[in-house]
Amino acid sequence: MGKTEEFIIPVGPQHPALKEPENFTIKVDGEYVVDAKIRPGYNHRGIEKATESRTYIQILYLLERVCGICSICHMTNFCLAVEEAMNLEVPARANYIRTIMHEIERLHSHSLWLGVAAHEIGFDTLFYYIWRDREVIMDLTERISGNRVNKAIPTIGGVRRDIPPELIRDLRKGLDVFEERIKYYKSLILKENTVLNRAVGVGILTPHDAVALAAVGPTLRASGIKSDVRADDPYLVFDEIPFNVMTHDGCDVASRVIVRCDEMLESINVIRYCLDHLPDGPIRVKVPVIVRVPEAEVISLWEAPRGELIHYLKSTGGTMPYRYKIRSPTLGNLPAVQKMLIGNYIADVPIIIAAIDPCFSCTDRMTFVNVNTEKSWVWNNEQLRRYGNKWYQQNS
Amino acid sequence: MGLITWARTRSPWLIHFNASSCNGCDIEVLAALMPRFDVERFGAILRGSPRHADVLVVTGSISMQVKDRLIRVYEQMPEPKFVVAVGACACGAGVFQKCYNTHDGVDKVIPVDAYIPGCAARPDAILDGVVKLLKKLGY
Amino acid sequence: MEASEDHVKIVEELREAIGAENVIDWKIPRARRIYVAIKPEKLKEAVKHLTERNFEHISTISGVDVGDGVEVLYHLTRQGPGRGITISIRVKIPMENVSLPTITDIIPGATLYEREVHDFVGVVFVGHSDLSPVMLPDKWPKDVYPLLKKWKIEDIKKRLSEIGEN
Repeated sequence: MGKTEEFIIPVGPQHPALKEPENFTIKVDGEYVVDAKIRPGYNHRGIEKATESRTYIQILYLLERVCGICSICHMTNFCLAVEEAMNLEVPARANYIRTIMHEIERLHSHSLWLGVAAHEIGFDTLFYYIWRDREVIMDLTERISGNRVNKAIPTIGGVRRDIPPELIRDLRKGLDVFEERIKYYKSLILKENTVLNRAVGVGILTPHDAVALAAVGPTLRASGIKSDVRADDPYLVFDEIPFNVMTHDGCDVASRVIVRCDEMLESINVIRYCLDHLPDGPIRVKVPVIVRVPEAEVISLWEAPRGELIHYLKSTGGTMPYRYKIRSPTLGNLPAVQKMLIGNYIADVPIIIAAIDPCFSCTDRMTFVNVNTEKSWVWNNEQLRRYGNKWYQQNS
Repeated sequence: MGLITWARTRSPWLIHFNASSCNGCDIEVLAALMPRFDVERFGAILRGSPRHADVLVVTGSISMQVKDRLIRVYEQMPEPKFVVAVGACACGAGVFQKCYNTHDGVDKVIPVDAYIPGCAARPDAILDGVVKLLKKLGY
Repeated sequence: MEASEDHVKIVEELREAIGAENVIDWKIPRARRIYVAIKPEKLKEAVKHLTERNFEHISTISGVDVGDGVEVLYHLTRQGPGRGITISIRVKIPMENVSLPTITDIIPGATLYEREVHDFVGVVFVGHSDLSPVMLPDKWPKDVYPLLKKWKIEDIKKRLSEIGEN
């Protein structure tokens, strides 16, 4: 058999843009990827087990920290599950405020991603511009909820804080500014060769594969599949709001960028509608200090920025759940990523992985194996990105 | 000398390591680089390799799977080196106490020189903590 | 949220497809949620039938320790604006024999979900190409399935310190 050499390059954390550590093993033939295996789990903290020994209010604050970027999603989805199990009617104003925060979170998440994606293809200027503009949303989030990250707005029975009139006025102004910027970035991306070269035709996921591999969110919609939990299985006030599902037929990375830009613009419309139609009334119903949930089984679906989020609650009565199951959207997209990598250049690996907006870092370390020579080597993300950018400069 | 001059003559190079963080603190570490907060005006840059770094910025509650990597990264840094624990999880497990796959703080794994609490720690707090640490050490 | 007759029809078609005697129980607690408990032998037939009736998307698979066995729920979702329904197929298997056939030949996207259920409650999915840990660390002791009720968190931590971790 051939000689196997292993070059282990000292592991260094990747660029701070990236989130949780991960591990990929990628088999290559020359410049092409022939197989990919993903090993998640570096961020496993044992949350599901922890929920079985915590009260519902404690779980509320635990679930907020499942993911710092989509914290509202997990919190509110949990509240919806518990409220359904308790047969609790939440005031209309609370649901509208929840919807507003939900969409604001989508804005912050997608713009965060857009900057990171720009960084992945070496377009650092765009990265810095987008993140500067994202601060508009972060400021508004802080003014509404009291914190930039981990907003803790939803609670069982409603929301904790109201949005007063002067804040509504500033929210509208901030959204106007942000909308102009997003429209500008979308038009820039569609014209800029640097971006198009790296994104068009890269990381193809056919509609058939997207469904068979259970892809979710913008990854699914960028392959033309019209499915969005807000439209399919409406929650909060989405059955009252006119709202469009954004899809694109390109099936590639560029489509995923376009879908997210379109979703941001649509989110701004949704927030405006909610502000225009914000009902009066209380922002929460009174719930006993010690929350007891009757025997029930509830499934709560939610459209997080990354895709479909599902929570399953099983209660046998009492102050703690019997079982609480969470499936985050990124796990749903991993089989699709493995498929998408195949047939592409090594240089495309960072952007393809980034295109699903993974809620884990695009790897602390990637192991490459050359199937012909059986040589294997390990790169950290920084090295892979630099390789990719240099390769494209030399080969375009 | 003024703070800016001091910082420019010292130029601490930072490296960031995510040890099972929820990403909340990590995006704030990143926001510290961005035009609004701009850590680079203090001479601090984020590097990609531990061999070039003076300060290790750690977030997260350290699962079993990343513990060895964290130790390895720490060992690869040349002396003098300092560790900053950012966020409630890194300071002491945060909400993840009594979970089966977390440690109660970074200082259970490697020695820590500064703790920046917060959930998530704000970018201004992160900047403040790093600069305070370096000034205190007369670095 | 009233359930429409559409939901009852879905259950009736499923009963017809796999045989009414193989459907142990079913309930429709609200619109867009159906729960059907079936005999484990009919799992693959049920999944195949549902994927042919537009329930092509697998949202996730949940494994629950119910004391006298393990309950595995397959959450299949029909997608499309205004058409979304999540049907949860429930199969219960005894503790002495926690094994089920894989459904990855019908829905390839179920691969990581089956690995996750294996990690947490120990179910062996016969025919799955690779049941290596997906969530748990590599060094995790192989006999510890954390989401089984018999494993308390303190006991898990004690076991981990026995093998030198934590």
